[in-house]
Amino acid sequence: MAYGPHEKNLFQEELNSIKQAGIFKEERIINAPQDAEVEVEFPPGSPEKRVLNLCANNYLGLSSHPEVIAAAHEGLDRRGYGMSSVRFICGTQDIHKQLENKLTEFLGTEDTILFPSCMDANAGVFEALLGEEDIMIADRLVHASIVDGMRLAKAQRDTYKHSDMKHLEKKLQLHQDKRMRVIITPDLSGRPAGERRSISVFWVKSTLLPPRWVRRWAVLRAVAFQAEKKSWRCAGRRRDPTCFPTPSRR
Amino acid sequence: MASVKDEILEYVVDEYIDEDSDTEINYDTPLISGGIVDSFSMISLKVFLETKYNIQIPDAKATPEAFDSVNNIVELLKEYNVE
Repeated sequence: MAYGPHEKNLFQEELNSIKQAGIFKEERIINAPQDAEVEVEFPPGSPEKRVLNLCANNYLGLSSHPEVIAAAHEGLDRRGYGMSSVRFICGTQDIHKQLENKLTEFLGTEDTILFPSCMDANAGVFEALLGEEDIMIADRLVHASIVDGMRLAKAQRDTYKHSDMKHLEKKLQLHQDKRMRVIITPDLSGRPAGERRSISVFWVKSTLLPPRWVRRWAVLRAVAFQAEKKSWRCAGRRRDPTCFPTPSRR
Repeated sequence: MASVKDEILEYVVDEYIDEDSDTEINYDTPLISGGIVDSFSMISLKVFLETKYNIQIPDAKATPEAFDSVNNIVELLKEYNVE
């Protein structure tokens, strides 16, 4: 980005105000693979310290798992590095389709499409699927990337009180004149600490949602969108039975 | 017949205050700066006003300042001949 002194001053003032507000984020430079403990240089240039890593999304330790690393090496050997294009031009390889098919089978869904990151998926899905005649009704604690995705879409927007199904139903009634009503629910990270009730009622067939909600929403002809990156052990045909009650008990 | 001011106050209480909460709000209670309504859920307030009074409020007008109290909202609505 090319800019002159005027623009630089504007950016500097903005940065200064962010720092004064105490919300400026310094990067933590990690000199090691992701793990429960990592070598960190913070602030940059400081002596290296070994610290407990409580802020990564590496819940299952997959990013440094030997089998995952070996598979990545094999992928590099067989298909090279980088796609050289976006997916719809020449950026889709056989291994992408294999992974998508396996995920479809695992989740019991109609199909799967992979995005480079959850942020990309949340930013792109609403804009691609919805138009001005549609409404997105989101839980008020959805992830910031979903909020961004909703802002990019042409569809109308509304919200409902966190995990309040009565309030959501009221909104569905309010918007029954819309072509399509999409309910957007948060993932586990969107739930306040200690809120076990919401987590315990999670149930999945094709999505990580309680079946009584899905059944009710189907009656109301609403579509559900669930952003979930942390509860995969609760998903799919081999889901962990301790995640939630079985259907027969509900 | 309820005034516009009372209709908005009733909506805000119903939409943003939990049933078991003892929070009380009046026409001047800061909604956005007071943390009762956040910038994301503010869109519901905008949807309500547009639906209820059959108006279109441009995003440039639907600012946190304009929505920061019931009285501020009433002032904004006057621009759309809603009184």
